[in-house]
Amino acid sequence: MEVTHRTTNSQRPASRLHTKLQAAEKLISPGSVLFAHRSKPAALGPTHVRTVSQDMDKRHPSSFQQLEKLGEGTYATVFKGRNRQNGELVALKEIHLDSEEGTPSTAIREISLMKELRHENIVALHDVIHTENKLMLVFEYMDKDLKKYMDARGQHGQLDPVTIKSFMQQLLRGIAFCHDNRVLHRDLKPQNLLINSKGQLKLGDFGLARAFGIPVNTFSNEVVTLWYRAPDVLLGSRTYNTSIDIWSAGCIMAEMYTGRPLFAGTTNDDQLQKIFRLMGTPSERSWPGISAYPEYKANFHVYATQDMRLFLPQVDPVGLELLRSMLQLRPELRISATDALRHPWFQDLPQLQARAQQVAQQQQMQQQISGGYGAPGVPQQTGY
Amino acid sequence: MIEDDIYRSSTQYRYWSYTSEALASLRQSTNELASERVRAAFGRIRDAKKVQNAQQSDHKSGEGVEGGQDPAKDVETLTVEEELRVVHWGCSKIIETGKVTTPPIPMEIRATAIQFLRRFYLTNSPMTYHPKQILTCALFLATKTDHWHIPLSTFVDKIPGTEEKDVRAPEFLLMQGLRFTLDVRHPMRGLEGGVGEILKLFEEKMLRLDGPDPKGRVGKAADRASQFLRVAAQMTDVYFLYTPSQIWLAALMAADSDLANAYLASKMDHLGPAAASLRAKLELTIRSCADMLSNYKSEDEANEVEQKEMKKEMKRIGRKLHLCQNPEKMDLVAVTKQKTAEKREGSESDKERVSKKRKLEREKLERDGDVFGPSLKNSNA
Repeated sequence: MEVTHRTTNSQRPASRLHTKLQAAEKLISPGSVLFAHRSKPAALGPTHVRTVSQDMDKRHPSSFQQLEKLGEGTYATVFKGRNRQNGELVALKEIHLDSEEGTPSTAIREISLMKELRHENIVALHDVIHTENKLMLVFEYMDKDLKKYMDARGQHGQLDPVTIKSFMQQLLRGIAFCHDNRVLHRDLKPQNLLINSKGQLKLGDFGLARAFGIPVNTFSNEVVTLWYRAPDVLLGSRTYNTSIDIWSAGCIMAEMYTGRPLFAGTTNDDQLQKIFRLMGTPSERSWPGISAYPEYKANFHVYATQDMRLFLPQVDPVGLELLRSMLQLRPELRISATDALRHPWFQDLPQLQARAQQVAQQQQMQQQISGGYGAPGVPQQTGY
Repeated sequence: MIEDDIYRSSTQYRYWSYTSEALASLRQSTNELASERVRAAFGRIRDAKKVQNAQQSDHKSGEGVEGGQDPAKDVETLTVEEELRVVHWGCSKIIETGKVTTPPIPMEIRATAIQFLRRFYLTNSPMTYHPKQILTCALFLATKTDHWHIPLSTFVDKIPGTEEKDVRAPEFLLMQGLRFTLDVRHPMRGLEGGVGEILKLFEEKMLRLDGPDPKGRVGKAADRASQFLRVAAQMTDVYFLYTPSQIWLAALMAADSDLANAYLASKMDHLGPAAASLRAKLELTIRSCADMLSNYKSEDEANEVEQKEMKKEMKRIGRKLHLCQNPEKMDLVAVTKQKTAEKREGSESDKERVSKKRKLEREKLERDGDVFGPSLKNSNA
């Protein structure tokens, strides 16, 4: 079986280049790629001719014990599963094969993307298995999605500030990695963010994601779940870019604080109105070119911009500043994932986490003494 | 992350990049393994025939069993070079097939399909699966991965002798052979960016170009380089041996070496003598890739004598392949059906497990019966 090693590349700051020459050596792609690594491509020695084919043949649906249903993904059903050989839990995403077209292109794209995106904040695709009329994607198992986690953990769905900061950092790291690899997720929402028992957050369900590059103007504008959809997409933009994922991340951050979706619209227009009511109705003056958007209406109800402190009193001032830079109406003003990760709000996270861990350990000891056992909640998620 | 790190994390780099030695030895072992299997398959047929003959001779006593030739011994398998020629035939067929659909399939998607085919045949032999069985599937798979949707019925419409089921049947086999890595990084877009940069550098007087029409010269070089990427880069091993940026620089070098050198100089001159060894390495690498590109000769470019020779050689290999094609894998639709049927019934170990479980349950029931007495029904009876 193929083991997917996680890469730590993305966490290496690119700014450690001291001299011009060093920088040049890193940047000149041909030389640095060729000579640094070409000498040892041992990972693909000739022996893999046998191992690949044999392993593949051995991989059989019955290698996994199918357990309870976890939920419905965008185009498939997800089950919990257990690897019969090593007892490891997995998530099995079952895709029905189209009798006309073969493997659906959504599945093909998801497989293709997941094979490229190896990162600790992106759910790992371990394997692909073929059965009679189904394709089964074997993902690493995650305990629950963020929505279920909030319902189970928080008070009325609200999470504590340290957890929020840690989740936001992991979310932005996952997004930054996607964007570095020219991939838009396009469907970020709490149901697609998976949480495991170690408190790790990973992006899942890349069924709607796609690689971007030029041209970008052929995107369909019916993709992101309404509540987390960026205003430019709602206005009918078909040339959106990475900034749409940042808007979703901002909405998710606010939701973790309040326990409720920030903008819970019912229709496209209602969604826009709910956004404008808090963020203010944009005009040609505040957003040059807005009237050219297909869904722009000259008679939008005009709202004044609300003070974020008033509707999000739970968020600290530094956090509000980050949130504001993510929830910019104009896509070009929205902060990038990489820049967001450098925001001062994340600076005290290590200390906060160390302190929280101490408290948790003490609590756990007390619990063990008193024999209590935390309810694990119903593990159910849809986000594969 | 800088571009190089991103490329190094790609599956194209991690799974599909080789030294020329590693590439050669991989092909060699694929060839040996396939040859063994072909002989074994013919051996099985021979054995089956023997049994049949023996049975027949039981009925019609007196007729000799001996006299039949040993097909396993006689089968002459393809060499690595011959296999490569067959794969190349498949690659050029993909280029042609992409033209006949309506609308024609964009060149870059055909290039993806060609790379699928080339990757697949690193660990599979044409003796096992003939490229004609795989290539339409590769092309259709490429339309799915590269967001160029076309219904299968429309796709096969213009491809003579191909049915929808022929395209669907090898899909999983192909994806397996590709190790489910379907993202191919091409050099075409890099070339476009590079040419744009050259023009900008020229306008900003950072790059000197001689001649009466410097811009026209860049345009001509770009066209020629693009042609190298569309054909020579697809028909040679450059994707396995070089990175996309090395390949487009090499194509530019093959098209107009002075221009490519001027571009490299504009990027590296200011680094000074410290970068000399780096630069020498870089130029050597690009040069060797450029040589591969310019040494490739397509059938169209060859002269009449060479064309005849090529056709003759291809015919010979075709005949040879016809005789050593693995007889058990000829009908892929049937092979796929058989595989799924096996899966439906479950493997031996599955069956064993089930029967073992039933036996245990039965035994347990019997034991439990002892403890709790006979079942209610029986006691009522």
